[in-house]
Amino acid sequence: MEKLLQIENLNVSFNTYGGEVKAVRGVSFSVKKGEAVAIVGESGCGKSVTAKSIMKLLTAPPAEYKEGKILFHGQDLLPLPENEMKKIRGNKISMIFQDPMSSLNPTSRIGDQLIEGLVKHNRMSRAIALQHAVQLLERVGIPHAKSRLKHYPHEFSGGMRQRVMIAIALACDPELIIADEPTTALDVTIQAQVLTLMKKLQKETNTSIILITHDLGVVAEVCDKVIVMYAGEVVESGSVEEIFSNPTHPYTKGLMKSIPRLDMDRSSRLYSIVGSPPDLLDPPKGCSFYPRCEYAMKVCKDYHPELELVSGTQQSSCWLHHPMAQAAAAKVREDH
Amino acid sequence: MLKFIVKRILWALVTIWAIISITFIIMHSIPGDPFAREGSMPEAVYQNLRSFYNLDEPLYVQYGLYLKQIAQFDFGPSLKSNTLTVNDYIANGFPVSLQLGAQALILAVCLGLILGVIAAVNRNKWPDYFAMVLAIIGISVPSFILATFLINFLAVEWRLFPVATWQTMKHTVLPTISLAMLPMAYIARLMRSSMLEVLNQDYMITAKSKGLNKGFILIKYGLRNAILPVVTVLGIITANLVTGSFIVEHIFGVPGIGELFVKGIFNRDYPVILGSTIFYSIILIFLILIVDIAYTWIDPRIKVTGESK
Amino acid sequence: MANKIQLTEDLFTPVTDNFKDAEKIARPSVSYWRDTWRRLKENKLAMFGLVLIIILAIMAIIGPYISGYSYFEQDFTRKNLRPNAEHWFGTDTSGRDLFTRAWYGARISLFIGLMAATIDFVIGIIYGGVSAIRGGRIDNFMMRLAEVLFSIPYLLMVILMMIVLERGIWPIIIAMTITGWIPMARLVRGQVLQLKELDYVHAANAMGAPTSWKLRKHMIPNTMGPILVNITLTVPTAIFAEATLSFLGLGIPAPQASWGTMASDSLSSILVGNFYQLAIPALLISITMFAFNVFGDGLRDALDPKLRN
Repeated sequence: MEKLLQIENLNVSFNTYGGEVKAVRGVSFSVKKGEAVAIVGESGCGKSVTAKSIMKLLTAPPAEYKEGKILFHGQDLLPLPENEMKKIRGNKISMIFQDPMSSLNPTSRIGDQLIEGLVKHNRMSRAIALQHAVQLLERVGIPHAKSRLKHYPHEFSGGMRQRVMIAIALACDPELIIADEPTTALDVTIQAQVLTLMKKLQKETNTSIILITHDLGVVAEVCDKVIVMYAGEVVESGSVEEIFSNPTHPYTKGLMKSIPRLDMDRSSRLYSIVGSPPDLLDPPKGCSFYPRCEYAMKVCKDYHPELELVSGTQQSSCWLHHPMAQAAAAKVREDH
Repeated sequence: MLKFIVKRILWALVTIWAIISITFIIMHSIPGDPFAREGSMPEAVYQNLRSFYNLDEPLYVQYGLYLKQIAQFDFGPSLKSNTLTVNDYIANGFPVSLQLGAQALILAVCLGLILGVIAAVNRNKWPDYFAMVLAIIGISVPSFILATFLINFLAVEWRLFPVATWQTMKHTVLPTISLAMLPMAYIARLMRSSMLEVLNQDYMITAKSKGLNKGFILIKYGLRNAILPVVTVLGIITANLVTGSFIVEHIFGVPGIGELFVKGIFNRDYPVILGSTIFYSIILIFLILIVDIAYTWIDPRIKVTGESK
Repeated sequence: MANKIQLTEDLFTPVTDNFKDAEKIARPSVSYWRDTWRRLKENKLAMFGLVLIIILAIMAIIGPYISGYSYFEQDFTRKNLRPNAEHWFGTDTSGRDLFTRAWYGARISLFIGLMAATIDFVIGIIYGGVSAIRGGRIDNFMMRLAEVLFSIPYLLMVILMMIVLERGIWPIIIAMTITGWIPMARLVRGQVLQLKELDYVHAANAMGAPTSWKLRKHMIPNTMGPILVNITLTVPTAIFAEATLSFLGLGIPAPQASWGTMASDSLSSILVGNFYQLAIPALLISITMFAFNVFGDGLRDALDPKLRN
């Protein structure tokens, strides 16, 4: 399959009052046509920054794309001028945001917000675009689509607004949709509906999706491939099966263990990873997960582990995979 | 929506009634008798006054008749003239004040909005600093000082504009600037902070992610949302303009209601003071009413609930 | 690259003391007021305003004694002198020393501003507090009453009051505070109502925190901010109003001086070229307004970290 998007060694920093925050550090991954890729990790681990970088949505300054390539159909987006980027945004790549309550313009009708992209990119007339908008709303399961076009965002519920956001993202038949925590702000029952809808639409259109989430349940449901990020770096990646059946990075293991399960002993406490992610103003020299890792070794403190292929398509960056670490790795296996 | 408007109108009437009552109380608590027959007062004026204020009747009857006369827009005779009534004065002055006020309001709103937007978009760069320095000057320099400075430099020293009076368009320039400066500064500051807040909203990124043009985003997403708080303070701004116009009209010798009011104060011409106060208050309350209704029209979120906040 | 470094077996022994670093990023907690002060200090403009306020206050206290002339002493042989070594700010049309008069005026203007702010604060906190705590019908009535009074333009109300009252410092303060307390009352009421509903106050209630604790830890720190800002911004409003009143001849009676009366007295002087007589009070008023405004703004930003990016 063709690689639709390929990110190579992406580094993004924010120049803040306190200094340079290295939010994304050497991230590389690729997305194939029709593939659904999940980026998971705690808040502040660089997921959203990576996603916004793909469309160059970060305001620079304070953001700065330090290094790397974002290849879309083999063309690097980073050096592309704003004018060219505008032709890609909303047209070839579109985005769904976390909070549907604040992501829609409160003083503009839904219909207007739906057709803006169509008028701009497909050069449709307003009338034709509005007809198209009705179909879009029907596709995302909004009843009475035609009369709803005249409504304002506040007249929709949270779930309905997210459906509108999805319709907006779909408007120009993009090749890639980036969904930044699309269900986090919704009620649990609504979350399932929205996910099912996204899955269905993805199958129908064969669009590629990058799904950013901290909810591993969502990942298992929708995605083909998983990228685990921690402190601005990719620490593990692989297919959904690989990651779920055999997580190799202690951080991924921790994430897996933190999912509450029905078959859990009621008396056992839910697992949580100790501490919080490091300050990216001054990222650690060694492994960034070192201060929170149960299996930390001396080497982890000062030496940075590289991302290495561990099996099949699965990559992981951890010193435990080093031949010299067999003793420690054996202990890890015992634990599980 | 209709219920909201009716409620607002009733409320406005209550306020106007309160103001009329306050003026009545003030009239009767002025130390000494404001209508005492002074040597200079012609007999005819004195008789007019007695009959208008029904001074022979008991106080509550006076109050009732006073309310009735005001309700018929009859503000009574002036102390200083036996031919012109307060109504005549107001009728002469109002068009002038209206022109000055409208010019100043338009200038203040347009310039304030532009400066605010420029400042917000170029946050912490020199256009921002320039706009905000201008705004701070506008807020720190009282209008009578600005007016006298303008007269001293632009009119007396450099003779670019006439010093005073109200004849041609050129005569209106300096009074308009003097009057507009404070509200302009106020609007610019408000617009800046409002725009900054809007620029940080999620929907601005949504707009950018659609690949829309920067100018389009700024107007349809930015301005449209950022302008709402400015609309809510338009009432207060108009009040500022009204009170500011006393001073400005007085300094420039503009024959409007503000100057009428100030002259009334100097001459202790109480019917003129009260008449222009009531007239101004009515105009003001009417304007605020319009602003409130306009707001529900501009902000779609309010239309449905029918509440003001 | 790391692989090129010589790795030894020893490096791969497990460690257990790594967790001690896990929480090291947590910053030391700083108290609310200290944090506010720290942010305020970073705001150069606000600190400049504060320094100006302090200088003005000091000069208001000692200024009138420096030159050795009194504020009322007239000397017609030395009138209309431009600023010189003897009279640093020059003399006015009656030969009075402008340096002494300027700082004497500062004393009166600042006194009026501070007193008006204090009285507004006291009335506002009582009225707003009672209204919010009693709630229901009483709250509704009290707020409606305030709203009616508030819809009369502030300056208009002050002028009307001054027509009734005698001229002097205290009548001016009374005229200013008669409706001046309303914004403060509304602010206090809003703050208290909002606080009653906040989650952390609910949490404190649920945990059975004593009232004094709630007041000290939650109520006061969280309501004082906006109130403090309001006080700071009331001072320039009052000074402005006093200047305007004096300018209309309703202010401080002669021979006492305020900046407003000085500006008003010198209005005719600018036409004969004695511009400095106006410039001095004008500059002082503007500097004071500027200082209080930028300090108030800075205080507001410092108290509300959310406003800062």
